[in-house]
Amino acid sequence: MTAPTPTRTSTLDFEALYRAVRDDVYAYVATLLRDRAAAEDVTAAAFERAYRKQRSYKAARGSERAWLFGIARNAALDELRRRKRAAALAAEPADVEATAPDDAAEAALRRAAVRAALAELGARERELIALKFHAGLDNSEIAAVLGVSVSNAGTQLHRAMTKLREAVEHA
Amino acid sequence: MPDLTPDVERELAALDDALAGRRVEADLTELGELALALRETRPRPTDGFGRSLDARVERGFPGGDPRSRASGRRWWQELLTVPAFGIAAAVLVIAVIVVVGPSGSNESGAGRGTPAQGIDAGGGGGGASEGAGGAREAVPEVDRAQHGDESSGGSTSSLASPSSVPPAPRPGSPRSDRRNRRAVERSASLTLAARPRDIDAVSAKIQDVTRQQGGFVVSATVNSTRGGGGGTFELRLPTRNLDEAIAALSQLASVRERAQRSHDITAAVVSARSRLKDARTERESLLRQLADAVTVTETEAIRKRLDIVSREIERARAGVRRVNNRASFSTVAVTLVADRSAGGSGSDEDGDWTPGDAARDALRVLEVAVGVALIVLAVAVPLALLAALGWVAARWTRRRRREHALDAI
Repeated sequence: MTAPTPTRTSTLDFEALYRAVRDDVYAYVATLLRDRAAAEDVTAAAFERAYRKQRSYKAARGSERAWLFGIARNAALDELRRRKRAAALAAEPADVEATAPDDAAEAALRRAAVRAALAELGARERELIALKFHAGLDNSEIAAVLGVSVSNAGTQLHRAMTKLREAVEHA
Repeated sequence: MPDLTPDVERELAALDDALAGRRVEADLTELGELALALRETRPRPTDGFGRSLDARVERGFPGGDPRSRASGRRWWQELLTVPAFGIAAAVLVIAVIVVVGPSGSNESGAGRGTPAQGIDAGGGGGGASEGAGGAREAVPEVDRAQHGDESSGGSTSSLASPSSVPPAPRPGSPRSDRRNRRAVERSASLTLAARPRDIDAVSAKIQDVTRQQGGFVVSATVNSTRGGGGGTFELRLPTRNLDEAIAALSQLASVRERAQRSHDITAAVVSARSRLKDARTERESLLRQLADAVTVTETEAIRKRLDIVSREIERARAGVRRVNNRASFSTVAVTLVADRSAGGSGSDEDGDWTPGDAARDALRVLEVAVGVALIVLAVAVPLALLAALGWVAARWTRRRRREHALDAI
């Protein structure tokens, strides 16, 4: 893939950023929306917005990843607003590895239990889990995306994990 | 938000260690395994979507604004849904209309050196006024409301434009409306600005001009102080010379305000003359009756009536003189004010442009520039604040709605 035509002066290397976070953004959006088709649309829209708003990125405000995930989050929330309802996930986003023939049965059961527990969480907890474990953001980046302090982000993440552990135990 | 407790910090660190492949403490092994399991449940995009998005990125996302596709609405449509923005936009529109719109009736008032034009349709007149000489003229008029009308049933005293506010219907005067020769009472006011050092000279010239035009000074008050002063004059001038006199007075100093008022008093003139004529006719009749009287009683009665009629004739003559005088002489009120920035009086208008004049002109230009800048700021700052307020409100509302969408799931 070649870089897009550099029509704007920006310190942001959009192509490198895109390559680094494409799958992460998709994973985060898919977990939040629980709708594969919508996740694809929103992911594409988020990258397009980011592409057109490269100049608005300011390194002093946070990392490139946090900036991009902020855009993706807004796009996902706009999608939720548009639909006015949470799209029930008819089928969980396909996990290619989960269906691999050599996957151990115990691990598969474990993942199924985690997915079920994740589905029981509220959107805010699910978003935190997605940012941490599916998008791979650290706590400071999560704080930047959510617009809260790092300690607040850590507290929220800990609460979400506590709820998830309880849900897994009851699953 | 308080700082994290040690237990929370320890568990969060265990999560990071597990994800990084580092060893996790024994009592947190289960948490570490959960973290790894969560990572394994990460959704992955299909190859088709990945290739499609790669291609779009490579082409630089040809097409329109993604917002319109993602939300189904354009950004301005989104903004219009915010109440605060709507209010701010309405206030903005009103402010712009007020600022750039017509300035209203002030333009019909007497501006600096620009007499407003108008015609006062007096109570007895037919609308158009004619001077005492009978020549038809458009009479400048700004009614300052201090000129009452005692004989013609009142007069208009509004500053509104005559063209926009038609006069109320009046019965008029059948005996005077058809007269070609109109009697018009006129008055004027003039505000002159002169430099403080010129106050005395201009005051003297005002009285000179009054005498030259055949008039006289009814009252004059001149106050000359260091760096200030002023004066007020009440002049009576022959109406036929009024325009010439005002023109001459206007040459004495800078004209700040000039207003004239005319009032048709033909009805009052006709009425006064009629009363005199009626009284004279009655006296002639009484004199004939007196000549024919035969008894003493009859003679005495006629003589008494003649005395009464004679007094009525005197009163009627006085009334005719008063009303004729109102038409023949005009009252002019002149106010003289001191102003350092005012132009010089007639004696200083020699056409030379001195360095002092240049400095004053430069100062005046600076004053005007600063004034314009202040006006622009006075308009722009509130508008900018409103726009900023609307922008902040729109952002806040949109953020709140997004967060609400997250809670609504």
